Amino acid sequence: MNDGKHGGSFRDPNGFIFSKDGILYRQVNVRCRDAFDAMMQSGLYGDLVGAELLIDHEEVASSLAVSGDAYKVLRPRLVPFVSYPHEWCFSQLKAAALVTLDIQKMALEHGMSLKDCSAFNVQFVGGKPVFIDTLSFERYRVGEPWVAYRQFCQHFLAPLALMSNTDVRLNQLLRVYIDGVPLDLASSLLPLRTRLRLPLLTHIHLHARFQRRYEGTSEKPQHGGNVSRTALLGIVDNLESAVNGLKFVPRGTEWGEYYGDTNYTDDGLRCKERLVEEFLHGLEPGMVWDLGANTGRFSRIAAVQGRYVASFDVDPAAVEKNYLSCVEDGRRNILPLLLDLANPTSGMGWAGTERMSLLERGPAETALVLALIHHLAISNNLPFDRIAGFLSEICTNLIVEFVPKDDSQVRRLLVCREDVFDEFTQKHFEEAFGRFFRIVRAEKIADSLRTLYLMKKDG
Amino acid sequence: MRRSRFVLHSGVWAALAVLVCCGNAYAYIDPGTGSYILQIVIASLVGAAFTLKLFWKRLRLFVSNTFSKGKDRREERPPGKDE
Repeated sequence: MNDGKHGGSFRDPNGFIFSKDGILYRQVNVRCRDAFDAMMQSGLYGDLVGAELLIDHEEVASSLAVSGDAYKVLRPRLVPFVSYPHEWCFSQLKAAALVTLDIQKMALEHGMSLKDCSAFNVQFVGGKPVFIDTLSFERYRVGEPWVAYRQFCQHFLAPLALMSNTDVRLNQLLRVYIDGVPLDLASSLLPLRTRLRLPLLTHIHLHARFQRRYEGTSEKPQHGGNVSRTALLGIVDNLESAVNGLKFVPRGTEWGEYYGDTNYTDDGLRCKERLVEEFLHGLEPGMVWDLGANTGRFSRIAAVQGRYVASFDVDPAAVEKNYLSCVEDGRRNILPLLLDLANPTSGMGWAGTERMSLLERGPAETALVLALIHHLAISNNLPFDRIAGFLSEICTNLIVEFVPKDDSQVRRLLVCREDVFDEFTQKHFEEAFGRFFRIVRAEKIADSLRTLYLMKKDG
Repeated sequence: MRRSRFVLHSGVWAALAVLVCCGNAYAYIDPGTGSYILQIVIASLVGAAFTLKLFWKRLRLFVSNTFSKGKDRREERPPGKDE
């Protein structure tokens, strides 16, 4: 049965996302009528959208509904590029956490509460984290604890605490644990000193202990009336202090200082920038994926031309720097993301279809692949035809740089290993890529041994 | 000693278990029993801390407003009229 329901929208009985004729809709089911109306009529929706905290929607004809229990059908504004928490840098996850807490505070002021604060409910739109699940609100019930407290700690606080106090790469746990990092795991991985910080002691270490202590409880707790609204606001405020107290200073990783460590002369770098700009000018408008973007120098060239750029890099420090400079510059059309191209995000969750793979989120109109091929070919032992085949699946136009073996950066990759890469030549590169793309232009980069190519996929 | 600590801890946990007061959770997200109980345990403490924090903020705001008003009034006086 193909009813257009989105693979990741089945857990909430209150509604779901579906596609019809290429347009994305959200069905609100009858059982959610009261909560939905309360959200709209209390002014919460208007205030959240006005503050750019929630994605806006328009109501469309109910006849578009795909099942009989529909109350309303909404057409939400589209997110330019869907990204997932394990692809965010530290500051992106932190910003998403703070937005989630702001939403809960605002919801409580309007007599509502956030019932689902999965990090997957946040997406980056216009450079800012925005909550996308309109059905994640319920009426506030006097005396009730916050139903999404556990989820907030697992999806946001625990990974942020681990990234800040243990290792920034531990955000990759979110790829394995789709419902957030288990708190007992976070507690055991965090250093002892985090027990001296009251918010972390409470919301992670003590929380983990409480979870363990009550995991076997077979009786359901009976009645409510113990957590006042002020106490709930206090918990949210305390979580906010915990998140705000977590820091990550990007330094000392592989690419953090890349631009200060290249073999380009000033003329060479300017030439490369001019060529990228020129190549992009002649191409159709559309999304650009900058693969191996580092801190996003070349992503900005595409962004200045008005294109939306997903700016990927494998190094958390580079992505952090890229994101922070986008925030500082108010750059709204670059989305820096963490990606290991040798192991890109695959389908995740139930049946492997709940969250989309990288390929499912493409193809991009154009891919920028600058100073990356030698890393894939030599550091990852990937043959040229495999690289070209993959790139032909993710883009229509390709701007790619070839760096030959005589280049000092490639020599550096080979310094401690035997050179078994006989086929790493410009001739083989052109032959392999020529099987998937048509080479439109090939230009030498001044003061270097490198060549920049513009290629197009025909048909 | 160890036994008495165990008894004390068990008593606290048992008391907390009795005090557990979460009603029907209609949400499809499992809040987790331990997470519910922890919120109940910390509620009064964080609630009080939050109230104090708000009070302190308002007090600071009041003081700074009063101070700046006085300063503004002094600045508004025409030159040469200071006593």
